[in-house]
Amino acid sequence: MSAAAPGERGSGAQARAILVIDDHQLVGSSLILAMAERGLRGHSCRVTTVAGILDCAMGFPPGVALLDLDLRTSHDSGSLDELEVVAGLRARGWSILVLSAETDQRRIAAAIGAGATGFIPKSSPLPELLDTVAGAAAGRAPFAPEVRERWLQLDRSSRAADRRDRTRWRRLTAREREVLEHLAYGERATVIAEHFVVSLTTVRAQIRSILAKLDVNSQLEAVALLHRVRGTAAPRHDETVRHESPSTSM
Amino acid sequence: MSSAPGGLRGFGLSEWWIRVRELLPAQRTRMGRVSVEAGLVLAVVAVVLLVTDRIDADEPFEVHIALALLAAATGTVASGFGHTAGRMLGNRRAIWLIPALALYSVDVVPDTALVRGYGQELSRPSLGLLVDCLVIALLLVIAIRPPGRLGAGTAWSVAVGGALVGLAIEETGRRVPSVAEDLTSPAALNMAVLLVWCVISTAVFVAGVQSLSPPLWRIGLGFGVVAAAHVVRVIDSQSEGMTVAFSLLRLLGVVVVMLGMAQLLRRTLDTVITERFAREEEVRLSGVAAERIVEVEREREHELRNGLAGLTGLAHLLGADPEDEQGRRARSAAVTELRRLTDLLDRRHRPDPACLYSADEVLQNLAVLWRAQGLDVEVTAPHGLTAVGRPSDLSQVLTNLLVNCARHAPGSPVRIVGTAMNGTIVIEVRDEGPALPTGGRPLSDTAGEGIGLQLCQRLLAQSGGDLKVHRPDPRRPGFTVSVLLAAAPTTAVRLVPPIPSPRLAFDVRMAE
Repeated sequence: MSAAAPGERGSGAQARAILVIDDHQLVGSSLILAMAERGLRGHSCRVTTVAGILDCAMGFPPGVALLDLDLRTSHDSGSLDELEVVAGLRARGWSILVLSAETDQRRIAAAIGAGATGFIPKSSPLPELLDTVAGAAAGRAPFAPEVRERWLQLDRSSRAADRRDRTRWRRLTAREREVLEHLAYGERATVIAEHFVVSLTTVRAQIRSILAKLDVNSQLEAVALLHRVRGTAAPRHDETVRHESPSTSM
Repeated sequence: MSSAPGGLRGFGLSEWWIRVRELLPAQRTRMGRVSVEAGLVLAVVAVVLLVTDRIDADEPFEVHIALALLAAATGTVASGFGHTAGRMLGNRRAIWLIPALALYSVDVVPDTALVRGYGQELSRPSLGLLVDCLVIALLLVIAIRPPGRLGAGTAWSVAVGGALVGLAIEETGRRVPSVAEDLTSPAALNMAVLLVWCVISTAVFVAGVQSLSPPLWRIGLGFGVVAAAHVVRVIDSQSEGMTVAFSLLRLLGVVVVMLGMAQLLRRTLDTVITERFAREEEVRLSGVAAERIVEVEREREHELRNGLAGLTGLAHLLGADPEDEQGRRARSAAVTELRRLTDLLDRRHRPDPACLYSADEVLQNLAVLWRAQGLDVEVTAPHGLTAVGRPSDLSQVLTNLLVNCARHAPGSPVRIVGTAMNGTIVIEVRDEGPALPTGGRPLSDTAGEGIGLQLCQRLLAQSGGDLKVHRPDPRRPGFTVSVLLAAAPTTAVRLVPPIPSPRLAFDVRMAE
């Protein structure tokens, strides 16, 4: 990407605020300093709650928000859905550029589908990154229409796959979901049988039923589907599953 | 997750059935089960003999034919069960039992069903039938203690051979009336063979009991009943009631054999399912463990990327006096180093395309960084050493070599000499430390040496480069490594003036 044209420095871009929403202080600070060198007005927002971020944005006229897609929350503040931030900022007139070290393309596509205008990897060379930010601040689209359409297409297919997974997930009874949780935690069937005070045969029958209902051929596939439905990759034993109310009980 | 109520909810029908079976006194021990099953079969045999002796069937031949067909069909199904079970787990006993059952179902049953016409007297059995019975008895004997070396092919060969011999004898008797009488079996011999069959079936039954194998004892019991049916037929072949009794007893025997084969198949399927379940469980556990490692790595990578992004931003912002060549080089080297680390993370996803870059610039910049760390590094390289490849690769390789120098030759000056010759750029890195007695540090010695010399070699090879370790020279102590890079063809290079923004040093010359 070419360097910023001289005429851009401090022109239209200067009128729009640039909000850097990143929980990594070093990234945020260096970006704001670099932007200042280019005549861009950057502000840092290190709040890690949806309401806090939206409040922070209210303090500035709508401009460009550089949003880290993986804001790490503290244990007290609970989980944060960055897509809600995208939608909230979008509703308030902000243009959102996703700036992230996230490598999961479906997550990036989801942010673009939720209203983000573009994506820049954090590993991009700084001048390239600043050019993109300056362009967005000047009102230029970071993506060509066909590139944006590809992201949106990826988001649509991801959502369709997610709906299919959830439909299959809803077929499971409450007990089967519990058994699948234990499987995903890495427990053997014998341990699960002891936990539920049932025989190994019963647990095996439940696992067979889970595989049949989820329409998968292996326990590993069932565990992978659970991860997709939960939206997390590493199950923890004390985690509460966010599932719909059980349809039947055993 | 409550345990007790959950446990009751998960209690399946199979669980209840197991509990109910446990309550039956006779089922508590294996011998109890054997006694019940054998007693039941004997009781049915007794009832059949008592009842059929008194009946006067209107159409005994039709009944006999129908029961024979049923027996043949049941025997064929049982053979199918046994064959499937034997193939799935390689059951050595089934290998011999199945041909015996198949021979009986497809050869002996039709022979004994069509031995006389309606209203005719039962003729004496042929010697061919005797041969079939002997072969069946032989196969049952072998099944008690199957030989390890002989497989299913041998068992089927014996059965088919016996059937063909029996068929040949019967056909000869039919077509040559003069020898027909000679080819019939004397009643005493017939009875002797059938009694041997009974004894062998009992031995199979006992072997099943001893080896705690319900399928085997059931098969032995069934074959015993079949043999007993034939004994009944030999004893009284005239009465219509006994003809029906023979057919019923034979059907009973074949049904018992089928139950044994069915149980063998069920056990085999259970074993296969259990093994599959165990394998699947191991795969799942490995997958979950791998996923956890990946998740930890993902977290670490995320933090590394963020840290690198922040440091790269700061490095760009470090002010440098245009007159301060050292400062400019230090900043450029820091940015190159951060880029190299970023590339290390990115390489897993998408390697940068190869380009033309200034190798001497990379050497000079790295030397500045290492001098700052106290290493005595001197670079001699002509300006304009343009190489093909990725500058981050060269940076990675040289960093690795300098780490080795610092580790193995502490305090020794390091000389880096770059030259271009015959389309190749040779960068010689030399320290004055001790060489290993084996003739230099081998490329396989990668422990604790950054990404390792072997990986360095592979890295360079991607762009047509190489890494060579020199043999130690006794007249000139020290350790020397040469990095070979593909030189850019001079005509393909267009010098691009340096851009003011702090991009990497190697980007100043790009190929068109």
